[in-house]
This record gives sequence, structure tokens and C-alpha cells, in this order.
Amino acid sequence: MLLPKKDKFIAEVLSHIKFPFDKEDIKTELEHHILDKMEYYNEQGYDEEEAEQLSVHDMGDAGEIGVELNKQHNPFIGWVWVITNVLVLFSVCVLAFSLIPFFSSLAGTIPQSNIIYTIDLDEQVKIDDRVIKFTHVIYEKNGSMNIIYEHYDTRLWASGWGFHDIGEIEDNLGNKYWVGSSSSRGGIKTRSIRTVNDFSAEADTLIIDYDEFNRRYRLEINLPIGDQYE
Amino acid sequence: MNIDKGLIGGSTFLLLLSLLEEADRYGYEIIRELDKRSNKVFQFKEGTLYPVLHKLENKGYVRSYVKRGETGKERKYYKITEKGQKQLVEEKKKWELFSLAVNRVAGGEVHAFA
Repeated sequence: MLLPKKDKFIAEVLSHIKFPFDKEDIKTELEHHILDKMEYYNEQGYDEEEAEQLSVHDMGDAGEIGVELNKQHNPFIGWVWVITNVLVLFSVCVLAFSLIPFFSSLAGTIPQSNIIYTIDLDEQVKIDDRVIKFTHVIYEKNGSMNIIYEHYDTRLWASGWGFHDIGEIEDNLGNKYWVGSSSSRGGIKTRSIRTVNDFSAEADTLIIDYDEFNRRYRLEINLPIGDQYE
Repeated sequence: MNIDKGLIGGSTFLLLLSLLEEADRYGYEIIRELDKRSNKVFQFKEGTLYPVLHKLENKGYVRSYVKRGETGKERKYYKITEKGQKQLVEEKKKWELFSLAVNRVAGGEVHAFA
């Protein structure tokens, strides 16, 4: 059912409404009114076209109604309302994100079902002005060994100078692991994950050995093997 | 005889709040009720009701909600608020004062001013 007169009336009213978010509501309300009135005229024996014509006429001047409605839908207050809502939502999101602990945000990318074991660590080393804190070790079914750590510079103004290497990854059996990946996120306190592939299931110690630029440290982390986790 | 809308102007709030005090109503219902009760004395352009309803809502005298009515169609209903009830009392007082004054002038009643 095409009702061009009704549509034209509503379009004219809406053309005066400056706040876009209220337009749909106003449109629906006026449309319902006109349709109700048309029903009344239909019952009085008028045909569709006459009913539409009369109903729209009864509404009055679209321009005048639009101007008056626009006064009640102040775009300034409307936008303040919309912006306030967006800001509140944004703050809630930021807060929620900052509350997600590092472990779930970074290590959480490892599906639980792939994990053979997780070891919580609290090992901290310092190289010059850089502090590295090892927090977790996660061993996966596919042989990937994940070392999760946080690092930051004690000089606040320091920009990262690309120190992402935590050292060589070895095990007590003499294997060295080069192949893998690493990723980081965060600002002043960067959270990183270093993954090496095909870590030996027989090894009972994970060794992180750093020896560069005359700076060294060596961490030995005991790993559960065999029956301990199966 | 029809009364021009300027005259109703001053009592619009009184009329609308009175009708909404009885029941929650949507726009078209309000128009029908006004027609019926005033015996079509109040004939004004129906679309001009909405800026007034929205003004009442902005002032906090009414609030609106969408509901399926008896006909099964969704309509935007207006409901009087507590603030609206208080305003209605004020509007009634104003109207009484106004009509009394009109009667006194037009009726030619003689008053002794104290």
C-alpha cells in the first residue's frame, strides 16, 4: 500500500528535526497516528486515497509541527547525552581491559585443552636498567614451550631499545631451542611471550641463559616429567 | 462553534494531564477523547499534539513507553509522573483563577475591594 501523501507529510516534518537519533521515533509515532485516522475514515466509508488525504489534512501543517518538535528535541542536549553515553561505555571498556590480568590476556591465547602443564614463576633478573620478571611457563601438547615474562626499564624516559631477547633457551639434556616466536604488548611495562618449538618431553629442567654484551644471567626452572603430569 | 487554538493554548497542559491522569494513552487516543468529551469544540490540528506531548515529557510531567494495545498494534503510550500530578494540581488552580476572573469581568459581577 503506497501512501505518498503520508510519506511526504512525515518527510517534511522530519526535515526540521536536527537531532538524527530521535527521527525514527517521531516518524513511527506520526505514522501510527495517520494510519489510525485512516482506519477511522475507512470505517466511515471513504476509500483509501480519500482517507489518506483527509487524515494528512487533519494533522495540520508539517512545517509548523516539524519546527515545534525540533524545539523539543534539542540537538545540543541530545548530543551531550549521546557523547556522555559513549564516554561512559568507553571508560567501562578501558577499566575492564586494565583489569584483565596479563596471564589471561596473553597466555590466554593458548587453548586450555592444548596445555600439558603450567608453572607459576616469580623470578626476576636485572640487566643494566632493564628488569625482567618471569611469571609463567606453559608446556603444550605439540611440544611448544612458552615462557611468559614482563619487562620494564627503570629509567622512565627510556624508550625501548629493542631488548626483547631473554637469552638462549636450553634444557638439561643439552638441547638448544632456536626456532619459535615471540610477541609483546603493553607500554612502560611490556608483557611478552617467547615460544620455542619441539621442546623435549624428557627434559626436567628449562634453562634460560643470557650472555650478551658482558651481561649474564642463568635461570633453571624445574619441569615436571612423565608420570608427574600424565 | 469551534474555539481557536490560541484559547486552548493556555489550558493545553491541564487538558492533557487530566486525560493522562485517568489512564495511560497514546496520541491518537488523546485526540479521540478530546473530540468526544468536548463535543468537537476543541478542534485543532492533530499533529500539533505531539510537540506538546514531547514538551510534557521533557519537563518530566509524563514519560512514554511502547506497548501493544488492545488492537494488537504497538503504540507509544504516555503516563503521568508524580511531578505531572503536582503540576496538574497547579494547572487546575490556575484555571479556576482564570475562569473566575473571566466570569467576573464578563458576568459584570460587582465586587467590593477590601
